[in-house]
Amino acid sequence: MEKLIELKNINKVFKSHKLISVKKDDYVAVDNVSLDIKKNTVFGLVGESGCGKTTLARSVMFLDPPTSGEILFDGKDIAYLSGKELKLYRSRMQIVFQDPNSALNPKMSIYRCMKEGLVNRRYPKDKIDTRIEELLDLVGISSSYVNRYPHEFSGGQKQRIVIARALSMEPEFLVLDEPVSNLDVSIQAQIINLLLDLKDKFSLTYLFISHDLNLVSYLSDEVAVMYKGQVVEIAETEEIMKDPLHPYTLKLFSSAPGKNSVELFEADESYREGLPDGYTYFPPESDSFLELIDTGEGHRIGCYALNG
Amino acid sequence: MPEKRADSTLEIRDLNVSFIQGEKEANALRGISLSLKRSEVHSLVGESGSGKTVTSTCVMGLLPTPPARINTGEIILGDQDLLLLGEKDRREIRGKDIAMVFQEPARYLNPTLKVGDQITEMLILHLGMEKSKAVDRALEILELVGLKGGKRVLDSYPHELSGGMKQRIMIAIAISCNPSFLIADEPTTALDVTLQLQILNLMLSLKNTLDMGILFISHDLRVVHDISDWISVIYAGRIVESASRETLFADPKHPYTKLLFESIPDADKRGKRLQTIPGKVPDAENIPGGCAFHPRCPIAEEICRTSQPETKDLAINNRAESHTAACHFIGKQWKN
Repeated sequence: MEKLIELKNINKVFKSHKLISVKKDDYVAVDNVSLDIKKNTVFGLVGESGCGKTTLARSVMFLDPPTSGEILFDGKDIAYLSGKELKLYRSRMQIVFQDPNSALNPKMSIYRCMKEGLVNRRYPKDKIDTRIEELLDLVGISSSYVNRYPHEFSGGQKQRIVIARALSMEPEFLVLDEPVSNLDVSIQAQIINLLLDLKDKFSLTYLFISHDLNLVSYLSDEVAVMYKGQVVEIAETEEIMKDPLHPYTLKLFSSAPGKNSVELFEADESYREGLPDGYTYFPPESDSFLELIDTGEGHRIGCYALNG
Repeated sequence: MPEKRADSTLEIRDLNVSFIQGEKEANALRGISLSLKRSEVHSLVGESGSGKTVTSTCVMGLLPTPPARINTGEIILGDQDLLLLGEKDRREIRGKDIAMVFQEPARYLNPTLKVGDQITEMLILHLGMEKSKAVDRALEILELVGLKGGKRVLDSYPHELSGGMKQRIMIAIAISCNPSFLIADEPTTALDVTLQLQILNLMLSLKNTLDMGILFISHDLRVVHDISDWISVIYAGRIVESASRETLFADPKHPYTKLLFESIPDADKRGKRLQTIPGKVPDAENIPGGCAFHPRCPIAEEICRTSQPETKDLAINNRAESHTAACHFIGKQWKN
């Protein structure tokens, strides 16, 4: 299958802003991440909070350009684009954030907030109104609501509006950064179904970021597991669910709720079996990066104990 | 260890609470009945706005009145009705017999006090311990909640601790007086899965060692599945179904419970559309008449719009265990 996004050795380092710094304390948020996202698939990215999922997503979107590395969008390195060209590429990739409350301007009506992007894209003026109606209809928001303000909508509706706004750019690639983790269970399912429908309708490609393993395993075609800024395991969803290899993946999977309480007591420590005492996934001097090793059929892991 | 008291049940009967704001009245709880036993985990599951937190704060006696008004109901611990007690007596019970763990530990710990002082405060206040004895006891409690580092942890401020550690401190404060019942209001929602598992394990092991009953409030059905003995499902201020964990997961009777279970994504449902519940949870100001779930229910009929269903016990005579549900058409099937 054709690749839409290729990331090659992406690094993102946050420099310390102290004027006189005694020791170098740069923070490596994303450490040498390489991955490919195929067209019209869902790529799941899982990991605990603070592991660099969102930073990676922002780097891919070029909102926070990476410190080093290459981002190929449809075969073209977006780092070398001029401002104008980049703007065109920007409309081809959109992002949906976790919290729709902070993604929508509370002072702008839904109509204005949808219109802004279309005007910027030089969408024909006389067609803007019908286009907005069309988009809202797509996500299941009645077009009679266009003059309302964000606070008049529920969380699920707001998230639908954010999705509609992202779609107004006619993107090919959507980054979904925990789009449902703020929503109730029954609303979650509505949004997930909507996202899957839209994916089929417009042949979209998703980068789906979540800490909910059950959700990612339901939705994604491929999964990457991140830990402390590095991708430690990548594989197709079925493969990684059946046969997780990296000890961190095992730990994450065994922690996911939904087993029964009898197992609960043991699950906590099971991932440590067969590993040396005090094992921490990475050598203490953790600036050494581990190459991912292919174990067959695209299942790749980077692990100190297993590779070394 | 302080001596155990005899109260082995906490019974909430027909609790009806509304919030008054000017002319408006929001009926947050519309007749909640729950019965908790010592050394059992009873979970209250529901979506946001369904009344979970109102229930827990009402049991703790922390509801501000006004705006809240308790219309009817009893909360019976052992043999006394907590709602009839004065504030002074409530204070005696709060924290000592019934303790609470909140969702966001960072918000409920005092940032200007060392965590050691926050733990010993309880011991000095409720059990009349001397400071030095209280510190010794606090060290024991820290060990119990799995915090190593003893004195060093007691001398640190909340901001010096990680999220998981703060939640452990919250639990330490809650169990410090050896309460008969612990109310845990979404204690793991703010935590990562790996930490969540640790905290759930901790709560289960404490339940066994201290012989407490836990009222576990959550919106996460999977977590509830892991930890509960008994589960009650709440919708728009009413318990719609209540049964033991095994029964509820094997044989849910209320359409809301069934739909909730089917809407959880997991790997087995890959490629299939998720079952959804149309619409959203009604807000407490305008709860639909009749059965509150009828606008979203796939099997609703005329009677559901007009009359509120009674809570029926479905237990068959030879089974001791009860299984209650409030629906006019219990067990009726529907096509998607």
